[in-house]
Amino acid sequence: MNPSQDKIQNKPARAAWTRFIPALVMVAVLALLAVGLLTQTDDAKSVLEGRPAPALSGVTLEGKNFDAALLKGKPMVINFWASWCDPCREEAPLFKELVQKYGSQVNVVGVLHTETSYVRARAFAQEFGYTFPSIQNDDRKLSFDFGVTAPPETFFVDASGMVVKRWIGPVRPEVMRENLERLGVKL
Amino acid sequence: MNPRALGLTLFLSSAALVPAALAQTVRDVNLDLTDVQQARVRDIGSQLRCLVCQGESVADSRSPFAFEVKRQIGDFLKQNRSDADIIGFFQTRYGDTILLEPPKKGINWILWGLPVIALFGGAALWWGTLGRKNSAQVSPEMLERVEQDMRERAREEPRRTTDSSV
Repeated sequence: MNPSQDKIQNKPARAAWTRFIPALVMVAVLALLAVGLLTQTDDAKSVLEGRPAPALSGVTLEGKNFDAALLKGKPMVINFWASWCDPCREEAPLFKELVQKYGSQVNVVGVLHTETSYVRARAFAQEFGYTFPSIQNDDRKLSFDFGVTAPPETFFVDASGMVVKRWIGPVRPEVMRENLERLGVKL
Repeated sequence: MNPRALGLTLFLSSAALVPAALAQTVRDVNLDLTDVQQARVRDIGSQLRCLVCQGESVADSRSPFAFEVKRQIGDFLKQNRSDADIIGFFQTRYGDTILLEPPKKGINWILWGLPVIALFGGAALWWGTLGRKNSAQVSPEMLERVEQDMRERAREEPRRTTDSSV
């Protein structure tokens, strides 16, 4: 047997499955991409979830001083809103209803986020019958402390002051119900 | 002016306006900052992701969120806070997602390592494919047959030469 033949015959036989490696790698990459795309949701997890809520105080739209620390002992729903924000209008009736139906079990606090006119904000509050306080947040401190990106955003805080859930976008009735139950509110 | 010249003039003038418009983004937000501070706002903003945009940095975005972040960076610079301190402020409140360059820790190593693994894996695959092409084209049986054929031809060749010379 000549050397070239010897070389060929001594070469280890390549397993048949190895020809599928490129296809398998491609399928794995596509699966990863698909999982990434399909698991993108509106309610991106906040770094605050499972942690104590930041201090919440300031001057309300009515010009009164407000400090949430004085309301401890009850769960709290904090809603960041603005008068120019259409999705805020969409969810507004739900917050009015929340105060009317469950106001004895839960505190509701509004915080203005990137508000351009307090006159329009007061008109908004009046139009939707907001009886809960809304903090002006002129220095944006509360927006940054809560990691808010755009209105509306809502934080569900339990009686011990821990953030249970952050919801980005308008709150839907089922989202409100589900999170109120998590806060221990009897519906 | 002919249409082509007019088009070229419009294109050049609009191209000249683009840098001016970009330069305005930080100045609009922080009117009372020095040029150095504005450059720092741009630099820090370029390291932060605009969380309401698609693949845009805070520095490049004109969204209200980016506007607020740039304004806050400007306020911090006036308080003489360091770049790391300012970036840390946003990272604490928004998580690692606000960083355009993911920090090299935990699961993020996959992000950093995957391109390198893909590069070396691809090179290995290519090398293997080339090697197979170069060496595995001829089977031993075929080689044996070719050599036998050549031996027979070599034996027959002198006979053919002799026949043709006659």
